[in-house]
Amino acid sequence: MDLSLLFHSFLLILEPTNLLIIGLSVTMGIIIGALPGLTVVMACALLVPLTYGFPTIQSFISLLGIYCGAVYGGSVAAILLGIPGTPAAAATMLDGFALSNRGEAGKALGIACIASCCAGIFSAIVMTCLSPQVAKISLLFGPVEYFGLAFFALSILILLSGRSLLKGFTAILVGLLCTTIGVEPLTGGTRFIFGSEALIPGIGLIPVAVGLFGFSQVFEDVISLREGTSERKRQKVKNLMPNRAELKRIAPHIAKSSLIGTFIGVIPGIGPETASFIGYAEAKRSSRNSLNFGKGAIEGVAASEAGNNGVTGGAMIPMLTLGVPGDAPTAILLGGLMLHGLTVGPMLFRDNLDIVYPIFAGFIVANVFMGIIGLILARFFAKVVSIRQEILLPIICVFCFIGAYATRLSMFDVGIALVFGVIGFYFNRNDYPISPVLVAIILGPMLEMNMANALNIGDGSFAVFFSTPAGAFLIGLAVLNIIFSLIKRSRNQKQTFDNATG
Amino acid sequence: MKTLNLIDALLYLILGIFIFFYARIYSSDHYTTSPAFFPQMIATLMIIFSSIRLVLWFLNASQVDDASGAAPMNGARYRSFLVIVACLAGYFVCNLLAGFLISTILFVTFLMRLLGNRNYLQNVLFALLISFGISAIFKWVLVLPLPSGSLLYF
Repeated sequence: MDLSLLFHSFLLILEPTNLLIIGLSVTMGIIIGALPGLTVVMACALLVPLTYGFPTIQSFISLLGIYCGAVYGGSVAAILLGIPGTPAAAATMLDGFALSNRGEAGKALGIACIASCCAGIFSAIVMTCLSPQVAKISLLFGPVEYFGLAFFALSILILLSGRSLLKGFTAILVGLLCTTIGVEPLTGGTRFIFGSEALIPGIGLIPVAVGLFGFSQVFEDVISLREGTSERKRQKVKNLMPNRAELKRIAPHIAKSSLIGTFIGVIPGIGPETASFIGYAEAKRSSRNSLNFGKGAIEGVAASEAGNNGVTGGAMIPMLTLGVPGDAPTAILLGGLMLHGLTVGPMLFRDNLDIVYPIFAGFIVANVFMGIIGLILARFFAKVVSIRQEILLPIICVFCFIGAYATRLSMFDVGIALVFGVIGFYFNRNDYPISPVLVAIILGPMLEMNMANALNIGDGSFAVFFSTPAGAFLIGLAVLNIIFSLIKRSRNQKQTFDNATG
Repeated sequence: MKTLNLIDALLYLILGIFIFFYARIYSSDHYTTSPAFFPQMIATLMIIFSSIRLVLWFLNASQVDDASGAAPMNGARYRSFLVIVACLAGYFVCNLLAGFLISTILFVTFLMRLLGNRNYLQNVLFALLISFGISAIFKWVLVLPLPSGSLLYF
């Protein structure tokens, strides 16, 4: 790690313009994350086009601000309304909403904010220290290892498969299929464009993300609103800061959950939802106050929030060093870097250190800002979460439209987003997971390109994938993961079936 | 739900078969792995998984597996879904014809009313604020053009 470059990057990030950008993006991230139904992915997808006009560093630090802010923002609605703003905040809701009902909404928000900020900074420091080392190792990777890595990441996506493994596989295949449209990476020819020039560049990641996560959610929200099932009541927010004894009680849980979150973030495919629940479960197991969990334990709020924010830095490590997004939001962040012509992966650490180190510095500063803004503007965010849906939904629709349009200034992309909105709605309604589609779109070209190169090296023999220890290890790990997932699912289904039949 | 699962699995089977055969036009003898290889591999997997789902459907084994977490669709929900899709499709077409500014004013006003906000003045003022606000940001801050429409020009 180059400490002088890191120091200069901090000086760059601390310039007033950059601080303003981080402050605004963190605020927007918290607002979007706080609004029930609007996810972290949606926040990133909607705002990527707005940051496109900025220079690379400013563009990316604003995306990082949105990412950090939105992950924390989910807890605001969870605490005040009892509706998780993001799926990752579901564990926070268990104790946060109970605290809120006891009239301690301010304290719950304060603890959530402090825990999120500490975990975010911890994970950002781990990212800063570990990423250059991982990048150095990954420079030794060839096509076989990269294929193994992409294959392993896709196998991990099975964990996101919801209840049906077959539907999870199908979602991954739909994502991979999308990557075959347009210019193909081997010969430069076109595939599956059916005579349409608009399809030559392929299907963009951002329109797909806007459709799958934005428009599909709008459809769900409109249905709930017209049925009258989306009521919200307003909570009073006061006394944000916990006292010294409370801080002492939550500190070890924040430390443990930060570690858990960061570690889980590094593994591709496992998102903040899992981290927050594991952090929460560990806090419940180890706390003297375990009987109060679910009834308003401050340790529960701190542990789950530290867990889900710890993921942010961890998920950035494989994204920056290997080009493998840890989850759907980092897939969008990766798309944001690609829009600026950057090739993410080990080469980024060789050719673009002037970009990489400001990203590290920006991420740490964004987390500090999240803590400050979260505490100062808590009362404002409390008002935002109670905005009426009939006002909010038209704005979201317009932002989805703009989000899909602005990346390539193409109405065709808006059409793509609408089509994927309907697909996303269909997927949601039929228990198909949608995150694997997005991650598969990122991993598809990497998988195809490296598979073809490896097969060329091995004269068409599939034995080439086991010719290097790292490649064989990754492929073996992926196969084992698929087998264990199948066994675990079949056991769960048998148990569910036995329970259902008595 | 059960019939829908059958149709769903059949659709993926048909899609897989179509892609497998359509991709043959990209076959080439010049490469170890031709551009047809990857799509055909995906199509093959799609055919296999759809076939397994069809077999499970016939064996009645997918009942526990396929229960969705969302509330089931009924007539009212389908209507709501179709209404919002039609609104967005109309907004899309209106953007092509009349450009972003006019279509956004119309769309936001109409959608707010449709979603139950009966204060017309509030709807219109809000629509004007959103439309002019976003147009101004794109025109002067981001310097990016918004759809201008083929009939009118802003």
